[in-house]
Amino acid sequence: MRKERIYQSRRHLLITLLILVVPFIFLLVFSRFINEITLGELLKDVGISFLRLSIAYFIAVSLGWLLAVSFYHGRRAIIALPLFDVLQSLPTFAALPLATYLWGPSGVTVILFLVVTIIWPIFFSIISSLKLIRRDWEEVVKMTKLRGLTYLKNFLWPVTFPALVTGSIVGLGEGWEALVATEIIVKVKTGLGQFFGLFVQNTTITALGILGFLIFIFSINKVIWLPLLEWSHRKMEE
Amino acid sequence: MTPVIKLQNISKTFKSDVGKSTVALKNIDLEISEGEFFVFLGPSGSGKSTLLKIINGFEPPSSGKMTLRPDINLTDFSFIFQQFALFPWLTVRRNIELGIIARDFLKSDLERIVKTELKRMGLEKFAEAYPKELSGGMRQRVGIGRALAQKPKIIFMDEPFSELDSFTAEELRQELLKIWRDTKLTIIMVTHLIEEALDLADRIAIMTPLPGQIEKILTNNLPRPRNKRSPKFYRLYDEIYRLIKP
Repeated sequence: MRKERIYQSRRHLLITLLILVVPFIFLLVFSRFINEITLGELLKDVGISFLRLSIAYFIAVSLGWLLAVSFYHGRRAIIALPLFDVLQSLPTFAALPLATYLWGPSGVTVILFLVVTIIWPIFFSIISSLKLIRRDWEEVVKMTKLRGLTYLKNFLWPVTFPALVTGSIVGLGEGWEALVATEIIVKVKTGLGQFFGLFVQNTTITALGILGFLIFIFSINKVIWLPLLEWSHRKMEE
Repeated sequence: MTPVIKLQNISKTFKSDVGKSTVALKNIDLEISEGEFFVFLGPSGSGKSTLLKIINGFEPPSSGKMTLRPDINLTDFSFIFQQFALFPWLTVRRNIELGIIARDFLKSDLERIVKTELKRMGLEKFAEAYPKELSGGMRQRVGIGRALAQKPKIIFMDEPFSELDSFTAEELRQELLKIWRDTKLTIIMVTHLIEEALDLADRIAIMTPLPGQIEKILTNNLPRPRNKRSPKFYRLYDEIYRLIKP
């Protein structure tokens, strides 16, 4: 009867947190060997890009979850799901120059395009989990007359959480890629896109930059997403 | 005495996505009395689970009428599921609490009711365990506890012991009979086991498939506790078997 925890022990938590230090050590070493950029500028670029992605993720996850639970069954689903399927197939990047023209080379434009990229894997992952809900669980909900906050807390949130985590992992994977591309195309003055754009002719810096980028994404996955994924699946084990 | 549930001419037809119709139930007429242990018995496809879900309100009938006694409403119903239907993310305590969490109970009353059911079902030591840590029998005890916590007047059971080994099933059947005697509940159960129906029921509706119909309603007057080796038990067993056998 062990309580379900995301991190199984203090040692597990400590080791996982130590992994987060790795990208910062990398940045420190990286900035020592490159004269063109200071550690402060590098941290600022990474920080701003991370912030844009985080804001976009929180908008995408909230909106994606709300849309999924609102449109997963009934008549609304018959109309909405094919529509969402077409929407997620639209080549949004084709509209990026127009969006930049309209709203300028701003962080808002970047965030908007990130939301469009991240939302679909989360939305469809949650839709799939809702469509696969055991029929007798739904009957328990009917029997117990769960509704409102009680329904959300005891049923809807737990039942969609593993899909939300899986969708987030896929969505953020695509998000990181879209982040750099969008920042380069929009030509914002700060962020990782600007960094890669600046050193486009320096193969070594670009290669090291990509390596640092990978270490950073790996660390985030190891610290947050993988433990969450395992925990959420453990919670759903029958 | 006015029946608690009265069914008149209930039918149910399912339509597939390609428009094909299947008649699951045809012209069911039935009355169930208060405090009765009523069992629907039949082979797969005889519509017994569908009928149970129509009476319970999970499924609407395609036609026909169901009448409840005026003092009974849908909140007086509870359900015990074949595959337990426990939420794996909740502990045993929380699963039982789920039965009444949507009602306006004071926290202290809620805790008292959950504690009573944990004790009644012998689950006190497992209150903080998750369903995956329990055996099948223990899980069904949680299912029964959750249903009883609702303080229902009528409990519906859809093959509640079919997922359990024969020893555990027998043990739970006897506990269920004790609960039924103590609480004076009306129980409506579905099973495909003749012996189980004879052991538990006051009356048995024998159902036949394609389409699901009630072939006969048999009154089981065998004295309780029932002796499963008595000649009378065997005679009733054979009578039912002959009715069900295609």
